Amino acid sequence: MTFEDWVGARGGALLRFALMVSADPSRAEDLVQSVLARVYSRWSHISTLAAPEAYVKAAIVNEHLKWWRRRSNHEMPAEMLTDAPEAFDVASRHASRDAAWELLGRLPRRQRAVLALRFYEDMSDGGIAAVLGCSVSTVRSQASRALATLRAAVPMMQKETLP
Amino acid sequence: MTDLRELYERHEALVDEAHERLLPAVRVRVRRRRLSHRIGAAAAVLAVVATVGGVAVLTTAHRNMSTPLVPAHADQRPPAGYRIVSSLGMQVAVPNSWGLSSGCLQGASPMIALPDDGYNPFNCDQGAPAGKEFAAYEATYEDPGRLAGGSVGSVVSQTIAIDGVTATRAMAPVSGGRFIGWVYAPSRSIELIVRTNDQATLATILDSINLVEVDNAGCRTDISSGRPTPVDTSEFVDQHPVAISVCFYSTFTGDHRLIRSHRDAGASAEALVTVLNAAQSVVPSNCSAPPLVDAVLIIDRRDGSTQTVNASVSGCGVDSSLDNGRSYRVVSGAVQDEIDKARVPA
Repeated sequence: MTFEDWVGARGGALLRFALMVSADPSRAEDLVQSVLARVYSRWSHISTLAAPEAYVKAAIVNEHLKWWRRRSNHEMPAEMLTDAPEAFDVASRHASRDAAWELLGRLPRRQRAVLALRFYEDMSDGGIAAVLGCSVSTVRSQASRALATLRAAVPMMQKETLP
Repeated sequence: MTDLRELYERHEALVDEAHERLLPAVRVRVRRRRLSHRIGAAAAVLAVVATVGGVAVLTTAHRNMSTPLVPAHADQRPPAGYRIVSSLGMQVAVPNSWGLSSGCLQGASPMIALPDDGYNPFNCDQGAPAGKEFAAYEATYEDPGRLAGGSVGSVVSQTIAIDGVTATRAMAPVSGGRFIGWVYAPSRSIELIVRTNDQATLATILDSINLVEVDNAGCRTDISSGRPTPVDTSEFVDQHPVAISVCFYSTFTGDHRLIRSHRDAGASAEALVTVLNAAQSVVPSNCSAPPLVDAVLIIDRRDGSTQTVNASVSGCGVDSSLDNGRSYRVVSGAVQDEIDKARVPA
């Protein structure tokens, strides 16, 4: 498959994945473009891999975790998020999810990446550890911390089926 | 399906439109890379041709071809009213009144833009406002005309040697009474583009350029591999340093190059070592690859020796780590804030 065909077929999935990792549409677009521009020059090799998409997604995650991008993202401490609505109705449920999405964007980048890999990509903790270059226990602690933050800041998520 | 999965899926449409422009945008980035390489190679050839053809080869005062183990220009004195800035191994003097930017040339105030990851003047949404004076680092050749902000007049280009490295130095008037100039050193993959409102300032800036392997803050242009050499200290780092060099590196250019550096002494240096020594100990485990070093701290000790600490944000087995060669500490928020005082423009 040519690079162009592959990007045409899988580009949408890459963008959606980058969105879940970055929680920012513009940053997701920049991440994917940046990684694909580098992938292009090595496509003859990458296309022969058993799972080129997994390779590219790992590259997106690692690009996302770089210090400079992290520091330029103006991430805010979770404590600064406004209180979530308490009433349990449809409107507040949507508001709760909006708040949860906003909070995702303010989580530490590594925690956000772990959540995206686990809950959006359905990857095992072992697979996530391989992508991030860390231990399975680190993956679990990162996920645990992220979910605890979400539960604490968005009570509505706890009432539902947040894992 | 978990609620979180549903949350993700509800937001997928945010990037629907981006799919259509993805491939064209990637092609533009690929073309830019290729163009940079081609122009770089062409500039190198032209430099040789110009030399052989008898065009005057200007040489700066510095011709040292050897690899310096100490800053080659640590004693470089900027002209009055100027200060030294360095990135990617190029030192330059800019007016004291110029600010420091992380890449984009936003606002009307004069500034020098460092090539922070993902941001450079050619990728920014807005160009430099008319009348703004600036200098901008590039890790590869970029067409200076794109930053000129007007029609470029006759270009006066010369082949020069800066610290033994062949480079192209060019100046040209720009419509509106401004001037643009640049120095490009293909073998070092670095270019500095400068736009000023008067020719004298432009010439002063271009004339001040040095190419170094250890910059004025004591930072190596290319990062050393491996863990730091341990030194004998009772704490994680020497509590009473003479000075600390903070060196920031990035891999966005395809290699691991010095982006920004800063040297602290006195109370600010002691404040930094205090938070380093207070950071929590940690033991990385199950590392599949060594951590990427984002910053190197070089601590000058009173006995004349130095201690090195590597700082990684995407460390192995931990969120982030400080490594003094013997043990690891966590990069706490306090540590990161203290280090960033050296990185973030005032």
